[in-house]
Amino acid sequence: MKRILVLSLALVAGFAAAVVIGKAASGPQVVTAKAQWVDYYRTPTGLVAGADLIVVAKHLSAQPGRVVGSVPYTLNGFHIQEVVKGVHDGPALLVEQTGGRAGEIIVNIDDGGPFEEGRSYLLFLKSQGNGLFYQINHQARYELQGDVMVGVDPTDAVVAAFHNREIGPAVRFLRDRAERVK
Amino acid sequence: MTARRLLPLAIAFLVGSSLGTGYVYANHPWICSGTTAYHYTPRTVGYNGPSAETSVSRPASAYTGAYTRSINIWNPTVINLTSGGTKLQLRYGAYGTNGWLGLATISGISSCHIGLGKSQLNDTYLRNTGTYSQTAVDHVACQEVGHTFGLNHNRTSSTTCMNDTILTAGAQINQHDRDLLSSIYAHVPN
Repeated sequence: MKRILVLSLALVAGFAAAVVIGKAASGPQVVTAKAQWVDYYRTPTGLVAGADLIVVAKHLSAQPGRVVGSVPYTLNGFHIQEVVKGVHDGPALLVEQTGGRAGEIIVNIDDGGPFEEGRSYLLFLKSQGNGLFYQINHQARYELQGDVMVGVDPTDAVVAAFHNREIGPAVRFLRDRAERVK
Repeated sequence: MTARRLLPLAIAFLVGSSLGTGYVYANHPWICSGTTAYHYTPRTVGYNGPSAETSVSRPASAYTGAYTRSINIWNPTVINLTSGGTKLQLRYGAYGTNGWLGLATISGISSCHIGLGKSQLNDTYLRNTGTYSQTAVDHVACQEVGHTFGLNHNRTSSTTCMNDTILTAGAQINQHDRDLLSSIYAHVPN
């Protein structure tokens, strides 16, 4: 009886693995990318000073954007829940992100990759001057898991300052720094 | 020795080896799986370009020269770069106000082997010669090409273009880069 149970479990596990591998193999081609960012900050205060807009916002949608040369962009729609620094007209926020889907190719850059619909993020953004914003770099994005912020690359000193910290005290800290760097 | 005694030893060994791995690799190889970095196979990599993907404002020679110097600096490593191939694309263009000066992409990955690498330099920012000297352009080109061989950023040395926190190294790599490439490509045929 025990042997049958073990064999059955092995069978189910093998089936599940085959489904997962099969799905991965038949999915779109993933292109992985690394960037040399325009702005890199050595302190959290520097990051605050460099951002035009700091918000806590909920991701609503991702639409294919422009393609320049061979670089595709994604237009991410957010609902602003809290403005921490800067001014934004209304709660609807558009963030243009390098990468996304171009035909059967997905370009995944090291800024944290595609945003997850329904998730909230703390974002440090720069304005493109046309109503669109972009994420400054890999230091500029924190996913909220409950009240806890999760950064993209915790080996980075600035990211480590926020990573696994609670959002409430972090927002108070950021507001304080935003006032100081005015 | 009892299992009760062995268990803490085993846990300590696993924790130690995990920490040790993190230290040795110190976010420098571009990890594909476990401790294996993305890499080309064989080590001879044919490239094409440099060529423009859009019109640019800075003289094209700033980008073609930067790529030429990058090829010259990476070629004496374990990587053999040859002109006229299809494994590495060297590109530049005005890609827009997107936050990056340069981008390295790798695709066609199979068993951590890179099918195609691409380096792109963003003229939207780099056209500003007051902010970005030729050394800065060289630094970005050298770094993006280096990424395509399986190297990650190296934030602990100012003598390598793989440091993404500076733009002052130009087309320069250090012994650590060379050693790491030798390690990554030790099993890869020429």
